[in-house]
Amino acid sequence: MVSTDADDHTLVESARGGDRRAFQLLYERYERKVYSVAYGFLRNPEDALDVVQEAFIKVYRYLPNFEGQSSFYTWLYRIAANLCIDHLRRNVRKRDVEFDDKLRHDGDKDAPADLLPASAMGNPSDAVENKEILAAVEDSLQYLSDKHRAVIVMRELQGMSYADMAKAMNCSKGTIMSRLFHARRNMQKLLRQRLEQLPDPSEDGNEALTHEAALP
Amino acid sequence: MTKKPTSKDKNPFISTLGFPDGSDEPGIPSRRDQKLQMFFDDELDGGEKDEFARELDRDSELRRHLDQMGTMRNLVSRSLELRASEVPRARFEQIWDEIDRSIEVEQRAARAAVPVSIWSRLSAATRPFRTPMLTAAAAAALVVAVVQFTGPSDVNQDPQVASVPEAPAPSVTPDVGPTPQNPAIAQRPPEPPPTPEVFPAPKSSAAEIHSIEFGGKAGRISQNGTVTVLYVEEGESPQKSERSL
Repeated sequence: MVSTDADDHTLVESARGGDRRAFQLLYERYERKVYSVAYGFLRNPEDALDVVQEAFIKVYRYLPNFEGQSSFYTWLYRIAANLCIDHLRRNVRKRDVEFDDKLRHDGDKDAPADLLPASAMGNPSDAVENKEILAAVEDSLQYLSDKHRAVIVMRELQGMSYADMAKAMNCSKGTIMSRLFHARRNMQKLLRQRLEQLPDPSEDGNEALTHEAALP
Repeated sequence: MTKKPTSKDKNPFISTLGFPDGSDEPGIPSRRDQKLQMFFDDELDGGEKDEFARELDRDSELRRHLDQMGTMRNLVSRSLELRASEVPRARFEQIWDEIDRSIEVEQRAARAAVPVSIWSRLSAATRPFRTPMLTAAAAAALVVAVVQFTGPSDVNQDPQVASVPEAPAPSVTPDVGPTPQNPAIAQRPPEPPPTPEVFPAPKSSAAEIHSIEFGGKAGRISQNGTVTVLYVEEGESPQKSERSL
């Protein structure tokens, strides 16, 4: 019986040997992280939970093939990302919406010197605990195209390399680099629009998250 | 910061950095923007990385953009983590139950798909009969054991117990006649089996007694139907005595 604080490698080895409890511990360790990735891609809680379920079933199925060249969570995230991309492609056919960019920043002749408005952001370390700013970020993600959101989530949340992202999205590394650049610019533009409407964070009444409420 | 070269000639460094000049994205970022992004994503090689780090030291605007990219990364991660933290624990437990069930079904299917040998199939086919057969065999063995322990020492001489007549042991040596070491035994003819003594069978009819003598005296027997009368004469004047038998 493996202990709950065993490292990923130990849990993977035990799960490979048929220890279902070890696999459950891996699931409990990464369930929310995989969910956040899936939600970032799909923007739908139930779809995201479906991907969590599918990803872990797939991981268990291919556990004997896991060579351990990358870390377990990198492998897990890659599987989850692939499932999300498949889901988006299937869903595009249903929605009859192009899996492409619907917002472009290339009309901006003069990009602002500051990509994010410093006045609305305040202190960056406080910004990540500010509910309104986080809501604005989520709203901005909503308005990105599926492809742009996918590269943002894969890079910013999962930390995937350009090569891995290119493999997942079935395109060249150069395309990923270009797509990521434009996705970031679009995201900054969208966020800037939303943050400029927010009151100055230095003023009273701006609801900040407490650590107890913010941490999962 | 974004410029749009129409051909590779206008930006000869693009191909070396990996950005395609014909990608599906509009506009190609400047070389500085590309390097900034690659530095931020830790995709620059050692030499290029050091060179860009020195450039960062000299350029405050570049540093500010790098910081803002970092802030954006933190915000995106934090907003999605916050969203994930809102999902109730019970919902994830429910998902685990589904995963566990799926794994179980897959494992059962995998076990069923494994080819079964002829012996395994035979074993599986006889499984329902195995217990009764073993029970019967055990009972039979127990009976034999009880009979052996409780019966006479030489069961072959007890006509009540089934005995197997001893078959003559097969000769190891070929039957080539008497050996010179034991000629007498070898030449003696086999004794004929002893003939059983035959007694005359008793007559099936009842014995008829006509007279009787005892103690120097004599009598006669008169049969009259089912009644037999015995007359005994004693001395000169016989006294008649009648006994009914």
